[in-house]
Amino acid sequence: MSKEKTIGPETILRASQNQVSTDLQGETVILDLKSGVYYGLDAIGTEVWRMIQKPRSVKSILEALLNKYEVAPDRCEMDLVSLLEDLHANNLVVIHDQETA
Amino acid sequence: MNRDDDREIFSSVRPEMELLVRCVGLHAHERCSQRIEELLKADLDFDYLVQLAVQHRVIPLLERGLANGHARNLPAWFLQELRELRWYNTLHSLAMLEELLAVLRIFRSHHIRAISYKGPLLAECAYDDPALRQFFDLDLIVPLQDVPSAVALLESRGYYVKRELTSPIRTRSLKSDLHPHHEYALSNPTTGVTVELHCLSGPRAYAYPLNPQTVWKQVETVRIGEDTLDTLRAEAMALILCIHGTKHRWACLQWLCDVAALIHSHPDLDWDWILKTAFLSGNERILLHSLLLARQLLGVRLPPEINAHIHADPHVRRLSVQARNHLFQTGDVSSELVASALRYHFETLTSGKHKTAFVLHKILYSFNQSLTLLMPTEKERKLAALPEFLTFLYLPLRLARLAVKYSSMALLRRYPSNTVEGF
Repeated sequence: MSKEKTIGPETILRASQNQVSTDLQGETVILDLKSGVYYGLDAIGTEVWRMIQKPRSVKSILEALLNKYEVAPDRCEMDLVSLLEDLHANNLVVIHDQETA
Repeated sequence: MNRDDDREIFSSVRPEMELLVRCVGLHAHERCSQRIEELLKADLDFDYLVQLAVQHRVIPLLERGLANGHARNLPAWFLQELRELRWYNTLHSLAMLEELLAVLRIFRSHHIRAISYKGPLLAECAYDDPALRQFFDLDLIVPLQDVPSAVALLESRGYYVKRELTSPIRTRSLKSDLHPHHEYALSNPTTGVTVELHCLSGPRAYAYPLNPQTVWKQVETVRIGEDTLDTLRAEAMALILCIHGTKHRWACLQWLCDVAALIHSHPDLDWDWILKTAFLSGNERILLHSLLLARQLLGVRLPPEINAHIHADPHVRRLSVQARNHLFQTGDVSSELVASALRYHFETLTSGKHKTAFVLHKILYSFNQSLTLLMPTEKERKLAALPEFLTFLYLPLRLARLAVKYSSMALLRRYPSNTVEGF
């Protein structure tokens, strides 16, 4: 399941199609339809998840989060990229360029 | 609820029921919000509210309606219980969706076309969320000739035929008696999932707007993950939901929520088709009083032509009041006079032809039910293993067991609780 770390500020990505997700009291439950594995996202993860229902760059997600939360930009970027890499490693997001290439 | 008199609608209803209806309605976050706040200040029985939500299968909708902005006024234990129930429902719904996809893939690989309706696809189409609806089985429409193959494929996946849906008479050796034109419910004891196979054949109390030939023209596709699934067009689904709710006299609030959510999520519904099909199949009063009920209770916005039809038929308003009263009625309704149910159903029909068909169906159904009651069950067979030529003796055995069963029930009613302890 390990994938190369290819996610940077300019990366455009979106949620994979092979999943269904549902909002649950501000959190998200995701079912990967291929593996049958369930995943959970906390409130911030849910916000990111909503943003990537359509293709979106990491940079613009970061901007949206920085506008909303009082958090150090470096810390926010680190956490965001970490979350997106996790999602990517579990096939829950696809990198848009890779998908269209 | 801008057009209808709120106070009259809820005048004789317990506050818990009013709260439930307002929380699951389309305007739970708008106009109803103030009234919800007022109700939450009353002395509410939250245990009873949970009980009502479970009974009416609206736990996820209630939780959503209350959690958004009203949570601070709720007892912590109640909120926690509601959240746990919704969590359970979410996991259950996603597991059911996964099973649906697996079953449909198997059918597809054997060239069996199936339409999935209600269940997770209705949740997706009406609520845009597979977990906002509570459902306990998967409903599939399959072509008449494919029913035996579909049953065999499900059996190979661990399902067994639980009951025949078409006829109320339970078939004993279902494998050998499989009838290609019949409908079956199959259960998987390992997963607890039930799949109902329908083919829209056989007699029904109501004239169905779809039949085995026309249903395939009312199909649209929904994409779930990498799968493309057939489901019914929203117009056909809306009509079928109205017929289904009417058949059960709208005893469950979820059915009405489904109608409301489906209409709300499809602003471009082809109302001309819905009206025309309802009129041609004799279901216009069924459609109109259901829509009126959804408008009054859940705030559905209906187009002017539908409101005009509702206004034109005085039966429609009367039927919606009857349905509403039945919906609000809680507790044991089994003892309610059958006559009032029959009167309601009879009034929903407009033509003599459909009324005659309805009466004949009811007579036939009652006859079949009586026959079913007299047929020996596993319990009689366990009590006495009779050889084939003596099977007729199961009848007196069954009658004796029924006599004991019903006389004990009568005694329990007469001498409740501890007076018959140990009986």
